[in-house]
Amino acid sequence: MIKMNKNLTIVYILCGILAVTGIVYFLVAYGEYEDWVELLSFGIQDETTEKQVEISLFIISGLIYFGIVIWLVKTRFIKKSPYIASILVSVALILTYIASRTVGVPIVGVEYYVGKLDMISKILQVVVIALSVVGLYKIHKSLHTLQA
Amino acid sequence: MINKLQNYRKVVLLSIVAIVPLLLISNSVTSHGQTNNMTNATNQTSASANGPNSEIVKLIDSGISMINSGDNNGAKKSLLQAESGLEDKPDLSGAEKHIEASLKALKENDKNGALMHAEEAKKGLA
Repeated sequence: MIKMNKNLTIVYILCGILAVTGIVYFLVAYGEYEDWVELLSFGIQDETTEKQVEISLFIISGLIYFGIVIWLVKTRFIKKSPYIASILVSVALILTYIASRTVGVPIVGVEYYVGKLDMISKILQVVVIALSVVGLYKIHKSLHTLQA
Repeated sequence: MINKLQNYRKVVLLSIVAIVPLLLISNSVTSHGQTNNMTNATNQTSASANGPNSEIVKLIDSGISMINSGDNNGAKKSLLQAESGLEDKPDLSGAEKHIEASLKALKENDKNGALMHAEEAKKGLA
């Protein structure tokens, strides 16, 4: 019973962090929107496509994180797939971020500044990956126990 | 077995949803990236006798002194004007990116970051 509660605590924490990561992405998207409006007010149109792509990417990322939370709850935390999805999404976004700060990504190019929200989201994503791996391990372990 | 198959389908679906934005970045939107607007061409052509980008360098310098004096709003305006002067100059995109970084640093009240990137932008225009 205590073990069950501990397992549930882990997935609840995972859901909370997934939701917070989603919110952070929405905040980043809003920040980019503000920057875009500011650029337009100075007649700078060059950045329009870049900003649109960034805003879309951040909103979609936020929505995906909330989608994974719903998926986890709907599958009652016992299916492996949402955990795998959260690992894949987080790894993909971390890699995209690293690429954007080093070699550059198409349209956006290389970004030089690492902001506070960027750091927060990357830390949260690493925690998401770690907790999802723990969740997968727990499911794997309990399946083995049931089979035995 | 059916459940397992459905789970894999879900994983594949979600992975596709994660990859779509990346594909968007790499391919489909490139055609829209050619939006060229000439409304700010005045700034670009206003080069003085000291060099083709001296007006922009002056704006960045003014931004730097405003950052040092704590006038973040004034600095933001100067840097945005400098950035507007760099429109349609793809060969100076490095300097433009540093101005953007400086603006982002200003937004986060990171004075050192803002100054460092403004200086880097100037180097890119030299």
